[in-house]
Amino acid sequence: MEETLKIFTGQGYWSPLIWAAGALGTLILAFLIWSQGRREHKRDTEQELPFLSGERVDDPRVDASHLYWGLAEALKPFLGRLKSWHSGIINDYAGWFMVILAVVLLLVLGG
Amino acid sequence: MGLSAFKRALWVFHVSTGSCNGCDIEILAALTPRYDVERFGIRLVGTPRHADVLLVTGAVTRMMAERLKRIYEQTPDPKAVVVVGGCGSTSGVFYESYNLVGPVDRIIPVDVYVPGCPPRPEAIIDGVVKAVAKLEKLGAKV
Repeated sequence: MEETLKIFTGQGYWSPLIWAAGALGTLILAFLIWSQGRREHKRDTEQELPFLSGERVDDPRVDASHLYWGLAEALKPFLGRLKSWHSGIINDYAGWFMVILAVVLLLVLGG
Repeated sequence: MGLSAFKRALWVFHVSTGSCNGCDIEILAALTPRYDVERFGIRLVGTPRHADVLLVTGAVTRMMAERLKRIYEQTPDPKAVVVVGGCGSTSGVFYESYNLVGPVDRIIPVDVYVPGCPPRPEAIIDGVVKAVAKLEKLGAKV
C-alpha cells in the first residue's frame, strides 16, 4: 500500500498524502490569518481604494511598465522607432526574420 | 462618561475642509510637550484608513465636500467624527457664504462638536475623549 503511494525521484520521494496534509495545514493557517481581519470592513466601497488626499482614484493599479518608465523615457527616440515598426502583422515579422536571417547567413558564410 | 480605560492607542486623522488654520494650529498644540496627547496613545496618522477618529476643521468649501465624504467613507468602522471650531460646527463667520456647502454635519454624520474660534487644546482633548467614549460603546456592540 505504502509503496504505491510514494514516487521515488532519486532526490527524495513525493507522496500525495503528505502533500494533501501540507495543503490542509496551509488552508487552516490561511483561515486563521483571515479570521483575524476586521469584520467591519466594507467590501466594494471606498474602503477598498487607496487614499490619495480624498481625490478620486479611478485606476489605482501600478503597471509593470511603471518599473522601467525611466529607462523607456531615456530611450524614447530609439524605442519610438521600434514601436512604429511594430505593425502587429505576422507577415511583417516573418519578413524581418527572413531579412535578418539572410544578413546573418551572409556574414557567417560569406566571412 | 463611562470611560473604563484606554484599551488601545487612538489614531486620529485630521482633515481641513477650508479652515483658516487657527484650529489646525490648536490641534498641533495639543501634540506639543505642554499637552502631549501622545502619552495617552493619541496620535495623528497620515491616512484615514488607519484612523479611529476624524478631526474635521473648516466650514467645508464646495470643492472639499466630495473629498470629505470620500475620506469619511475610507475610514474603517467603528469611527467617530469630531468637528473642531466654530466654522465646522455652524459655518461661523462664513455663514451663508456663496461658496460653502457646510457646516460639516450637512456632509457627514458628526459625533462631537468642539466650538471656539479657535478652541483651546484642552477643549479639543475633551472632544477627543468624548469620541473615545463613543468608540467604546460602538466597540462593545461589534
